[in-house]
Amino acid sequence: MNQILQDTKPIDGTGTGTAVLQVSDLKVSLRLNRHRKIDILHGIDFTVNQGETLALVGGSGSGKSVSSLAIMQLLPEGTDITGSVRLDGQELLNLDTKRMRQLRGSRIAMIFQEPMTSLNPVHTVGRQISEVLRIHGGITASAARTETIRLLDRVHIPAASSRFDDYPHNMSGGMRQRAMIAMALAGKPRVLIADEPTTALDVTTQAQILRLVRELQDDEGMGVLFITHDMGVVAEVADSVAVMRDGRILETGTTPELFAHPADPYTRQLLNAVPRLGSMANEPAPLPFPDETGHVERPAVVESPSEAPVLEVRNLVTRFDKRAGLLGRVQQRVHAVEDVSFSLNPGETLSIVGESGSGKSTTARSILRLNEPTSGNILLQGTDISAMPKSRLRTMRRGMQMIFQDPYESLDPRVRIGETIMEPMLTQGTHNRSEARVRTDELLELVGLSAGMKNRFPHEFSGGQRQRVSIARALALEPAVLVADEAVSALDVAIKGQIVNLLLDLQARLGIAILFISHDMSVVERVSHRVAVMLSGRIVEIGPRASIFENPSHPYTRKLLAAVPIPDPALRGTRAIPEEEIRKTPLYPIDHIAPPSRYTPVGPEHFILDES
Amino acid sequence: MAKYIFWRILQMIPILLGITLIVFLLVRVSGDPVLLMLGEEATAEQIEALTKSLGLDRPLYVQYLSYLGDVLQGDLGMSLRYVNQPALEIVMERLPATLTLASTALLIAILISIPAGIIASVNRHGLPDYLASFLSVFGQAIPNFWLGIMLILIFGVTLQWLPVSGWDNPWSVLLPAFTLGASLSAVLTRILRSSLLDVMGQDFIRTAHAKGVSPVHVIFGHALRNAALPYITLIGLEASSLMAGAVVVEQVFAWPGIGLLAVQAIGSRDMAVVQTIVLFAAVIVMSINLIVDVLYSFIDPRIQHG
Amino acid sequence: MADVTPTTLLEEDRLNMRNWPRINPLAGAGMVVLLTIALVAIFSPLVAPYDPGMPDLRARLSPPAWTAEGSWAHILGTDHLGRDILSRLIFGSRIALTVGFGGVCIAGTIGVFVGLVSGYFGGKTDAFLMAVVNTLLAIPNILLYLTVLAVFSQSIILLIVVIGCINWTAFARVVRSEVMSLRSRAFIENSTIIGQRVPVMLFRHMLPNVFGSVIVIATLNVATIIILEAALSFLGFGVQAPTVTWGGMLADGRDYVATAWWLACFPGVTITLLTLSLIFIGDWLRDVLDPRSNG
Repeated sequence: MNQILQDTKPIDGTGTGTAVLQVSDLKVSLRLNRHRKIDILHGIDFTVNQGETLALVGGSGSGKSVSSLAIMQLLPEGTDITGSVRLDGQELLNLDTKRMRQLRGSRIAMIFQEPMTSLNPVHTVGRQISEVLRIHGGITASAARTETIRLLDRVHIPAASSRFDDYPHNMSGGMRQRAMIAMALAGKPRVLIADEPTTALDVTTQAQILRLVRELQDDEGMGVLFITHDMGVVAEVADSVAVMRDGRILETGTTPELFAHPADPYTRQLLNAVPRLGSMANEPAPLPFPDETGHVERPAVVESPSEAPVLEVRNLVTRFDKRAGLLGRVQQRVHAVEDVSFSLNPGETLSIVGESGSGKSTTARSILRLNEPTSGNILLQGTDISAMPKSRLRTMRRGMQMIFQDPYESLDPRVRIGETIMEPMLTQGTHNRSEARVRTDELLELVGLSAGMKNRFPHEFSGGQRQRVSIARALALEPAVLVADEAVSALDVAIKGQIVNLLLDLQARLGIAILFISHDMSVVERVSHRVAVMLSGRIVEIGPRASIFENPSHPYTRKLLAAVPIPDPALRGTRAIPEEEIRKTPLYPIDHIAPPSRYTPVGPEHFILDES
Repeated sequence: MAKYIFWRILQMIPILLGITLIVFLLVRVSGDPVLLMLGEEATAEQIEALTKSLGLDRPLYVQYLSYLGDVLQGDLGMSLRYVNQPALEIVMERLPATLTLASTALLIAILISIPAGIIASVNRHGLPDYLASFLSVFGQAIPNFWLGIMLILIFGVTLQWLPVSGWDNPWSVLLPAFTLGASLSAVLTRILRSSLLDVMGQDFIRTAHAKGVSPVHVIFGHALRNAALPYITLIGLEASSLMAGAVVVEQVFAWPGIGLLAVQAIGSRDMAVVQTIVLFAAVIVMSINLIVDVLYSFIDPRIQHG
Repeated sequence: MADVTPTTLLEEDRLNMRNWPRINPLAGAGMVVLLTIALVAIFSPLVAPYDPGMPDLRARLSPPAWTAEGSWAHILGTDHLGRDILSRLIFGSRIALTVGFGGVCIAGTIGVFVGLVSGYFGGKTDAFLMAVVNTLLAIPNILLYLTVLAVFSQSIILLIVVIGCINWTAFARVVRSEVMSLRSRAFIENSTIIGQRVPVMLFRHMLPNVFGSVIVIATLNVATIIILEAALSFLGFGVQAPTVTWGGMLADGRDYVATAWWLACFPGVTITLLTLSLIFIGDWLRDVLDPRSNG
């Protein structure tokens, strides 16, 4: 059930023009101790009009979330707020705490980034929503229940009355965010503050939530302050934009205006760095992101020397037992990876895309034998490692290395980075200590760091630098295959571009094959030679990058592509968004016999999964 | 629910087996019971005869299995000291005193720690917090037997307010129970304070504030139930310290429970009684843990039972 | 992509502080007390004014110096046999510290090993080791100590070994849970990917990352063992006379509590002072080494 989004209002920033939230010269500082103070916000101004959405955009550390918490006066103790925040003309900053509390949840409401942790785990969803009604509406329990069910229905939660007594852990991330929105709507707020409400969600869920926010805003005539780091999301939802950096607003404007004529260099950089789905239409090979000046350094196209694949995966299956009951018997199995086959050539990037629960990470982990595959063959440089005993596998491991998602987790906090990079070489015995030391210096230079940094500890580096260290470590053994599991997903947009460029550069220079696991379609479009789309443990579509993006043939691929926010306000509301939540967890009874994956060609080397 | 409890009891079986094994080995290493029974002047023939009749010439594992069989039939052996009295009877007679003492101590600990923990966490870095924190560290640092002696000195000897020894009237339980509960209330206060502070920093508390929930209701309606989880877990973990503490405290106050009995029995090598006491104490500890688990699953809906 | 909130700023500030851990006054006082008691224990014969075992029947039950009938010859008074209480406290510190630190060394070694193995390998190994831990947790340990000590000769070595062999469960539990959460961390998984051997990985990456918690537990555990040792001596099952123990002094003093309060009071104060110091140090270490905890 798809529906074409119909935009009910023009995006020219007009709305009704009545200001509901006016922020002027808002300053926030944090007292560290009696003598030290850090300024976090240096005096920001913006206005949210009735029926309009203002997007507050910035990278991490820009102060955008602090602004929203300052407006709500939810900052922890030890922070000083000065300036002016007016809600419908009423100054909020000089209200006493009791008066402010009465406004929170009724006239001004907020939803947060993490729907997983923002709901109280020990209370039912219904109780948490009706609590707002009972605090601010003073109505009876049964009236609150009726109204809550109406609200749940309002945010399109199916079978709303039966979900009232559900606990948050029984709901998916998207459902929880809907429940959060219902809670925010309960007090009929004039202003809704949405702090990165879709960042933690899958892209198809994100599209649904964004549409819901817009729909509700139109119906209720709320002003929305939408905080995000994602220019694509901005283009989808905002009437006007304020760009923040380092606690200051750099630039404000209506969305079309700002996207068309960014005045501030930082805004330009932000817009340049955003991967734009469809921008690779006529490019034959992966392309680095433009630098600050907009210049794109095209890598020399290297023809792979041999056609023999470095990695071949045949009929890979990985299942996890779910134990339950008295004796912990296996009653169900998660078919995390089900009959997955592909090959990877030298110097090639194959991306596996999919949403959470699709099995893309488990596929990568099974290939690396971090999870034991249930069946199937994994041929690394011609040798089957799928059932190789651990002792023999140890030496085979030098052919395939990995970069992890979280740069803060992937380096041992107590080991100097030089030692970290040397460890693989010493473990595998490819270099002796003095050789390894020389090689470490080379590797650090190779990934854009300096050899002098090798005596530092991980906490002395930024996220992007740590990811470079991880890459240096992964390259230490000169692997033929590099597995990058969401390796740029946790990075800020500008840093993301730099790391992708580094990977492309290294690939061009070293001829390394990359298995790129990602949920981000726009990055995948940029870096891949070939793309595999996964859903519920199976590859549903695989083929050359251009073919997949220009001629998506499986319905799920189309949904996925349609859901990606595009940083171009002119395209808003032109794409079909899936209505229902896509069932993703492939949980089956123990006696389930999974049918084999069969594919139909739809183009040269381009296949889609047959519906079974 | 019943299924869950049944399942938890099933899980206790290996631990109970472990305990009987330890208890059995304790007796085996505690010297030759034959020599103990017959005395130093026994002849070789007498020793051999008794060894045979007690079945001590069989392999160790056979002896353990036969001991296990006896235990299952409720036969925990005869006391050496109280001649011809089954150990079980002697222990059962003393059990109510210990249960009264331990449950009063637990009650005192809960009544102290809940308000103290809440007040301390709400006034973080304020005077009540420092006071509660200091007292709770103090409660952990002070040896309970010394605390008992000092309480006897103050309330029994100097002020003469409370009875200090034995179990003659209902008030007798106060001093020993407070002595036993002091360190427990200290650790419980600490855990409640820190888990409340932890919970108060979580996202859903921010949500509650954003909804306009009053600060008092944020604590009692949203935070406390979440903070109760580590608190209850700790009660389970401290159950065995409570029983161990009872052994010492009963000694100080001449409280006629199984702790006092245990020390006497160990002193006179009355191993059947010691075995029985260890088994009973372990069962009490495990029962407290079972109750804790059940409570836990009531408080946290994420734990599925059945 | 977390925004920088004041709290993350605070945490970063705290991280920087870790390079120069500030000693809070309580922990500072604790260290002074611990160091003093340690020095006194080492140099007992030099600092003690009297032979701790020498009775002086003319000076029986002499009260502390500052009371009306006290004399400065015995600053903290004498016991029922006329022995100098201060000297006995000084010699008693030797047993307390030896048993406390000796016991922790054994308990820590066993507990850390069990925790590492149980947490990393999981499965049946874990189930078995945790069953052992739960069994030890279910039995009030003092009954085990009492029985073993009643049966064998009550030597200090035996006392340390027995305490060490039974008192390791706290280490095992904490190390296990930390290892389990570390196990899925990327830098540990990377050890597998580079082909590192498991024992090397456990030693080089796991152990250093759980060491902070181990030190904290060890500090608090010394306090627990010192109280335990005193309790055993108090019950008459610890190290036997003529060796002086604080618990033994308390047991003697208990009979005179109505007439000569100082006999029972000073050993208790000393034990409390020492364990209080250890707990303050442990809490401070927890704040310094474990930024997640709420101090």
